[in-house]
Amino acid sequence: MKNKIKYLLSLTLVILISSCKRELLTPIPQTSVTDATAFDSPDRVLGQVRSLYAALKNGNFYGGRYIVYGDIRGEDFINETTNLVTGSDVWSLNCAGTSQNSVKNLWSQAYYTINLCNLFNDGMAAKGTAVVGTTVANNYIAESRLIRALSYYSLLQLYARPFADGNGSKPGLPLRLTGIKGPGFSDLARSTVAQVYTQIIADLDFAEANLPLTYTTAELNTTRANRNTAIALKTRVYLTMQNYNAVITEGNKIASQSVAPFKALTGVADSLQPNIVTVFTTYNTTESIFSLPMTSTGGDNPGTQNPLGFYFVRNGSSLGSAEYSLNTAGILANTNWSATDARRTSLVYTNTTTGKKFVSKFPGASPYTDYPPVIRYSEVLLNLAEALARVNAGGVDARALALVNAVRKRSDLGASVTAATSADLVNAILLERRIELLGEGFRSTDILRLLQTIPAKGSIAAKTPSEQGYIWPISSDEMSLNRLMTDN
Amino acid sequence: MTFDITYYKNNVTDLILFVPQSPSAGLPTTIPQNVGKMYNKGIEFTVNALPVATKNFTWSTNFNFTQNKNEVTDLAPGLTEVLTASSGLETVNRTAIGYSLGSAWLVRSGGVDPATGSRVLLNAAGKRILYRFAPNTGAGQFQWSNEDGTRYNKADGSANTINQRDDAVMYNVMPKYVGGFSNNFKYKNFELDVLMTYQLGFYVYYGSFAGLHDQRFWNNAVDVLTAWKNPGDITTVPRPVYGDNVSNGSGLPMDYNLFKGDFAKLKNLTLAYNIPGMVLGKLKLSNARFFISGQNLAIITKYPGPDPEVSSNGNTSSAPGVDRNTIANGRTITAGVNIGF
Repeated sequence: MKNKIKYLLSLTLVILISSCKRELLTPIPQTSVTDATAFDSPDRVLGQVRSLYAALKNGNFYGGRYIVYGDIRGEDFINETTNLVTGSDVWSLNCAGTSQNSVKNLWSQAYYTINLCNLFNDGMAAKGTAVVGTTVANNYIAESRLIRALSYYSLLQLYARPFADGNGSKPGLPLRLTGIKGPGFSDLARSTVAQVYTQIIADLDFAEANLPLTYTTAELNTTRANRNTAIALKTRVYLTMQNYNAVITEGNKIASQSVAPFKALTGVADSLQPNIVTVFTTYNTTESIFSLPMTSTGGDNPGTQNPLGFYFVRNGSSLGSAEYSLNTAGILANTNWSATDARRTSLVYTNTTTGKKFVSKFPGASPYTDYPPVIRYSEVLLNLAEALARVNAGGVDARALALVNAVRKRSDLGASVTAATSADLVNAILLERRIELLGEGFRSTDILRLLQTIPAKGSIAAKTPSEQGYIWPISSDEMSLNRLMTDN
Repeated sequence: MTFDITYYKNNVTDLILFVPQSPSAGLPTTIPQNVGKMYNKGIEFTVNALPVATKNFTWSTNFNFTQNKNEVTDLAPGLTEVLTASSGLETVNRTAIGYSLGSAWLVRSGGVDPATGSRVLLNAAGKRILYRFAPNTGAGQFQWSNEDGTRYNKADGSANTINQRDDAVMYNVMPKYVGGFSNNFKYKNFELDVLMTYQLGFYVYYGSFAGLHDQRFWNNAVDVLTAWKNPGDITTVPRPVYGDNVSNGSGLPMDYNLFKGDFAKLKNLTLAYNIPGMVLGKLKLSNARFFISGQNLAIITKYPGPDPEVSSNGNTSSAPGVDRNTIANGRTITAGVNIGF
């Protein structure tokens, strides 16, 4: 009996002692990687880099809806399904801050991406750089900062006044630059539009200085950021800021020629494909400076009701939902876009039953593995052309004309762009952007950056820059949880 | 006959809540924390009685009544509200300190403007503001205008809108009074059970009603035939404009779609016949019972939807009282035989 009591006592003691072990309260999971060990090996660090691209290409963000919204806010599309889940409020220019599918989801996903980049940068500084070495670390951090810059730029296009309104003095975004792992960081006031752009440029400058010139395969050259990706994005960012001289400086780095053919001479040999259709069938050509890869693996594509193909086309009865048709009174009706242009003959689909026309740049079937384009070489040429045309306001800039014609004649040999004045040329270039980049998410920014009125379409009235709805409201979740936030 | 009266006050503290962080913090999931306080208090009152008890006939009855008040008294530090969307669409429910859990958060409707047919909404100060889905910008029309047709402006002169953040008020969707009235009658071998339930003192947000007046070429209720057509028309349905999803409340939850949910229901009715003991002995059975019963047979309510006792958001405690495209509790009729050997 005495022995039994002893055993019991010692057993109780063992239980008591083991229950006091503090690490048992926070065990290290055996089946997942924690933040403490995420940067322990080169493979894990590379895995982190890939996760940044995965966050960017989420269907609620750049992998689908960001591009869709950029197009449907403009006048070239007509909403066919009047479904709030697929952006009918975006198309109608009357989004509420409480709109889950547009305003709230995109805001969340973009900031999720930004926080991942910040956590990555912090993790590299704490441990990762020592694991992979300084050079590779700087490559990776450059990729992270490019993705962060692209995320902030995208948010500015929807949730903040254009740079041209008050030269960036209007409220921009909460500028978060350090990683957040836990509660307690909800409050942060908005920086100005100019301050956010300054950070975007700083990130892209760092990226340009530290990204690799090329990768080992064409696929990686398109799907991971290289030096020319950073330069190309800067032409876009500076154009949006109306800093045309800077567009020319950046554009000259990758399109230095004065006459066609234009081509990047350093790094990846970015150039136009002879046929534009190729770009939308072979995703990793040198024209696709940066695209987001998709596969049929679950979770590695934009998902339900997000893909570009789902929104923009119906080829017969089984593919896509054909949410948005082309407005017959929009760019489709423009006579400068000739009937023989390859972009009209090969990239516009006509539903023979209804007679309605659709953008067919993304023709894949569910699960829609078309690569959403982030930036193409033809956009860079048009960015540069517009900047040259505007800077040389006294006459018709010959190089600008050559650049826009390189894009035009690739698809339509017979119809050159001509212009009598600088203003004519600028308008011709803006028109060429609508044709060339249709369905790739540019129309809204191209209207807003010039503080133009968003034209009327279908049953929707025009929207002047001073009206509510010209830009989106802020996510209602942000408004209720970030006490320093102000609405638009 | 017995009475039972209970007063209760149940303080709930340190709830494990998934506390939302601002989305710009970029966290992938919400993190559970011990936060929040609320209380339920009220009176429960129960009567059990046996009004008739004779050899062949008994009637026993039970009536109960609960008065309940729920109020949230604290949320996480720095958190002033929790918004919960219905099925990923509009946000109707808002949980805030000083209100009951998941109150409906709606802008106030002021009917339809007889002159223009526009939906009238009230701003926080109660001023009547007109909404026009498709204004003709060239003709001095505005999406949001004052009654005199001028643009509805903010104090700084820029364009203003009616929205939930600035103009919504809170409506209670939790019943203040709930209870039931159950009766059991036995006459010889026959038995009759009748259960009635009731809930009083609450609102239901009838989201389907918004859908039934949505102008995005959806199926509409018959009353759209009374829509505004000519200046001077007095009606409840605004001027129909193709694509309009705001004037009806789909895009902007409004109290036009809010209704009192008070109801009394015949929840259950069962009529049974127990075979007498003599017969059972001959059949070598220990018991045998024939019955027919029905659930949800009748309802008395002014609520226009199919059933005020439903929730589109299931058991989500922060999103009660929303009836959006939800089917009513089913009316079932069952007949059967129970036999025991």
